[in-house]
Amino acid sequence: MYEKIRVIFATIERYIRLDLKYKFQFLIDSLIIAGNFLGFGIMGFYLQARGSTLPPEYTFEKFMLVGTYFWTMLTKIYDDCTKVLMEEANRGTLTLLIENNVTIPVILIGRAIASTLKYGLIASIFGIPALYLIDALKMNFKYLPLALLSFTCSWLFIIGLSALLLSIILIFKRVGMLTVSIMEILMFAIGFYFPVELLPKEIWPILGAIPFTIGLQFFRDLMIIGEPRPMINGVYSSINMGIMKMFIGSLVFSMITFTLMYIIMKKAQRWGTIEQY
Amino acid sequence: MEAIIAENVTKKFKSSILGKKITALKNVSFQLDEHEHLAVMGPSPSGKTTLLKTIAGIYLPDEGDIRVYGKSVRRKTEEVRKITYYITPQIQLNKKLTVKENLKYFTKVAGRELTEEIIQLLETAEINDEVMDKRLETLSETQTITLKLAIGLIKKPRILLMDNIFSSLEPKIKETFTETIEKLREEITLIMVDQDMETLSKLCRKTLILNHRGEMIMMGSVEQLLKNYPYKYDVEVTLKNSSIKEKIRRLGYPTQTIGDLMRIYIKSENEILELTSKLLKMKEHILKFEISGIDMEDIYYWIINK
Ligand SMILES: Nc1ncnc2c1ncn2[C@@H]1O[C@H](COP(=O)(O)OP(=O)(O)OP(=O)(O)O)[C@@H](O)[C@H]1O
Ligand SMILES: [Mg+2]
Repeated sequence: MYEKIRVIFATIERYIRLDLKYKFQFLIDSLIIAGNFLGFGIMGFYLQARGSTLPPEYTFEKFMLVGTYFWTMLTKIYDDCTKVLMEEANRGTLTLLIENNVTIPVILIGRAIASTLKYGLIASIFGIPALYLIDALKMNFKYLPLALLSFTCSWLFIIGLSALLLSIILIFKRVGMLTVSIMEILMFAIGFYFPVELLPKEIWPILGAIPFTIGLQFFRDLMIIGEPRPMINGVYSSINMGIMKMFIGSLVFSMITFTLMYIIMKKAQRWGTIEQY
Repeated sequence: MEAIIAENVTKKFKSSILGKKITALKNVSFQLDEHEHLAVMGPSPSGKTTLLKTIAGIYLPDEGDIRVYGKSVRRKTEEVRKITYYITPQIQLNKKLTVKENLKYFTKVAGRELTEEIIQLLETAEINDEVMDKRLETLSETQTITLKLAIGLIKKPRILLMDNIFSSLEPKIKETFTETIEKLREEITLIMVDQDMETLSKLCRKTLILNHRGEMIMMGSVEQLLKNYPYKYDVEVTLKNSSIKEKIRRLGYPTQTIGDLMRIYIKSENEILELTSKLLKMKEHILKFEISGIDMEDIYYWIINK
């Protein structure tokens, strides 16, 4: 166990160092993230929210920009995580990592944490001032643990999803648009563009079970209203229920996908696809 | 003590998900004692790389198992990886990182420090303090391969698996590598695949031969094989004109042809004199010929052709 942690820490450091070498990419990433805030901000100002599903504090630009802050960090992490195997394989470095017990779960966790630090920083540099400007930093300090828990559970869900995709990549090597498409669907499913409530009632149980959905709604409420709403249609019926669903859901989901990835990794060593040539 | 016990190892690959299976290794069983040096030989492809990668815990066998110092590759893969190092020109270090960053990473991964020996090995390729801060992109090939070996030695492997390393090395670095391995003789078990037969016979006292179906034809000590071999010398003839091949064959000695090169196998000194005078008669068709004692290469071709 101690050994594994040591290897993971070394791997996090390796990815941070590597990311810092690609300065241009860093710049482009920052610009894109800044662009997201700008774009969704403008969209929010000019569009009007229809109906009265959201509380009065919720202006559309607040709805969009808090979502953007949360979403950007997590999807960027997901991008890095799902690309990591292909990148190591293309550089020819994968075999050497594997034979030194830098296994695929270790690579994924190392990459995920390094990306979290990277995009947490970049998104905050643009996000926090943007949220401040539109008065969406209302969180009551006592809710900081809930905000962190919302982020952590959504993070676990995204890392679990990455593990699922890496398993598929280990089998098929190339998966084309799959990784991107999943994110596009997820953007609607978790209520990034509009509240889950506006989607058909029949799929609420599915959408409301995604830890990311619950995490995003909690985070928005905390930032915009200052405290979580006692219930949200289609997401949770009570705060405690929401926390439970989010916590257990993310834990179970990531445990299942990591187990799956572990099994597939062993299989890939049998099939000879582990090096991803 | 046995460093490696392979039992009925079979390894198959699928060319694609729906493709049919290729058998890379079939029922390979052998044992290798600690600190022995084994040359794995066979035509291309015969599963040599696959065998090495399976011993290193990169691939897992489909059937059978390999125990490395008692640890099963199947069940204790990560334990096996800690004591083996597989090196080939194909494995790469991250080129964007500096030499120091690469070294640091693998020392952290292994939980060890750089030893004096490793630093000395690096210095033979002029990897000094100044080069340490350079990115790998700027290193020469000799420096890169030395770094790869050095990085493998960080974890103090008990088994070193070298796949076609020597054939691409320049003479000077070849010497360094040979010396490094000789120095480690008491600490390391070596398994080698290489086109460079000279280094192979210099370093290895044992050989394992695979055929193109991935089956093991034989394994034994080179010395024993030489003793049992019916011929004592070989004469290597480089032809100027390939039309002469048939004429040489008709001389009645066992021969073997590889492109424009012919090997003639000889039993005694007398026969050498006889053959030499015959060859001299054909000298306008011959570029050169060389007489040498039987070595591992001859035995390999003899066995492969049987
Ligand atoms: N990862 C893999 N996936 C699919 N097929 C593989 C894989 N590795 C090896 N093979 C196949 O297995 C067979 C044996 O390959 P291997 O590389 O072990 O041969 P080799 O003896 O090392 O050959 P060479 O002398 O050319 O290096 C070949 O037919 C090869 O195509
Ligand atoms: Mg090979």
